[in-house]
Amino acid sequence: MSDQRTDERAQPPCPRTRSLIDRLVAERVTADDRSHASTCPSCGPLLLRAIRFDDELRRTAEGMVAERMPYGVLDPALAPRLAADLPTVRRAAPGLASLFAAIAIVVVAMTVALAPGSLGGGTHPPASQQVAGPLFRPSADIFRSVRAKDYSCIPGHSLPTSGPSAQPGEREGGICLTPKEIENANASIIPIENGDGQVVQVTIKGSLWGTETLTSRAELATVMGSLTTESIADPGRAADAGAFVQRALPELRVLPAGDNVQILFGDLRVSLLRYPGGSYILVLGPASKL
Amino acid sequence: MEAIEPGLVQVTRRSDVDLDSAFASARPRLIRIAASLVGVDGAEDVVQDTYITARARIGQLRDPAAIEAWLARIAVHRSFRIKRRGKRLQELLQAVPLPRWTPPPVGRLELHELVEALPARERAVVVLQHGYGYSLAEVAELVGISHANARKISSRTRARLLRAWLEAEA
Repeated sequence: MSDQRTDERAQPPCPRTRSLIDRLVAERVTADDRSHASTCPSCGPLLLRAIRFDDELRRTAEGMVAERMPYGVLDPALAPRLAADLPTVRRAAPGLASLFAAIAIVVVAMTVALAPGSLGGGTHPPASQQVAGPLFRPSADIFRSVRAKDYSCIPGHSLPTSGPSAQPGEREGGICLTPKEIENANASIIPIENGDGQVVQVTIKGSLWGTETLTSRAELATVMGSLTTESIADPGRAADAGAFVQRALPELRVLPAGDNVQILFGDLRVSLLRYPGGSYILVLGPASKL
Repeated sequence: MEAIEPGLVQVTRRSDVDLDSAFASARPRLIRIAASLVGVDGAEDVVQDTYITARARIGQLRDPAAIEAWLARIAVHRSFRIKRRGKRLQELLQAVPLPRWTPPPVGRLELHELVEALPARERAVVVLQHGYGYSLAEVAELVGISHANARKISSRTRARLLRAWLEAEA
């Protein structure tokens, strides 16, 4: 075998090989080069090797990675914050303080609702205020929309009827997962229905895997923002809430206890939490259900 | 004045961060990150540099909870710059009769041997871009150089590796 290889390599070199290498490196290979390489035993393998190069380089470099970067290595928390103008309540971890904060939000929301115009020219357009009718689109409509984007959906499960997380009478309307082509990220949407089949809450989960890049986080923000928009019945509020999620998600910090943000759009509550491991959970629900 | 680690706002001193224990717990991870970027031989130096830099700049750490990511980012930054010290050291060693590093012999070389033989700066860019999957803009941000400079290093290194890889075959 080695003799055979020696024989192959002992063939007289082609006088065009050197210039072919120059053109391959400069990415200026001509049709004549290709035609010559198809019959030349010296230049043919070189051309094939050059075609394989980028894949080989990626595989080689991946093989040299001995440790993933910690989540947040490109985080805005390591650079000047951009979120200062967000109309949000923020806390480092869920706890008692969050309950008081949430109550405060409800009180402010009720004040806004009872005295329309008192905060005229406020943060949100009129579409974000009280809207008659259901908060969310029916599960079937949500599923139809996301299936059109190649999401895969499976039936949901009943929710616990006892214990600390009991939600008697409520069930998951289904679970839809993002298509595989989203780079380094995936997301799922779970509408929660009451006994009448009406959607009363929507949970959207997102995860990053592999290297967390700004691109993958921005993509996840876009996906979760779009799922938010698909879930909400009122188009104006849907657009506002979707845009908020898209903007707020990349700004959540990496903290050992997680980070989160909440906002009310009239009687719709949007809660977005970042877990330390790089996953996100977004809960859309009525402001009254805290 | 070189661009420096992520950082942040000017604070003269902060007492709410226990750098030593945070560093001790992050150290094994930092070693592996540095080894990925500059190789095992240089990793210890990078991590040592990381500690010295972190100690000097702890006042700039804006979010104490993000200290591990901050340390990792400093380690990446130092990995990219370790060559400078290596070059200075080489200059100092010129007069000393020590066995010198010689480039790997040409012929049937595997690509990983060529990447490992790259100077630290080029190797760090290759591993960050192709191994970790960061975009060139992100690589530039991590190592503290301009996007244009990162693009130049990346394309020059790619051309250099491709040529060596093809010549090894020819």
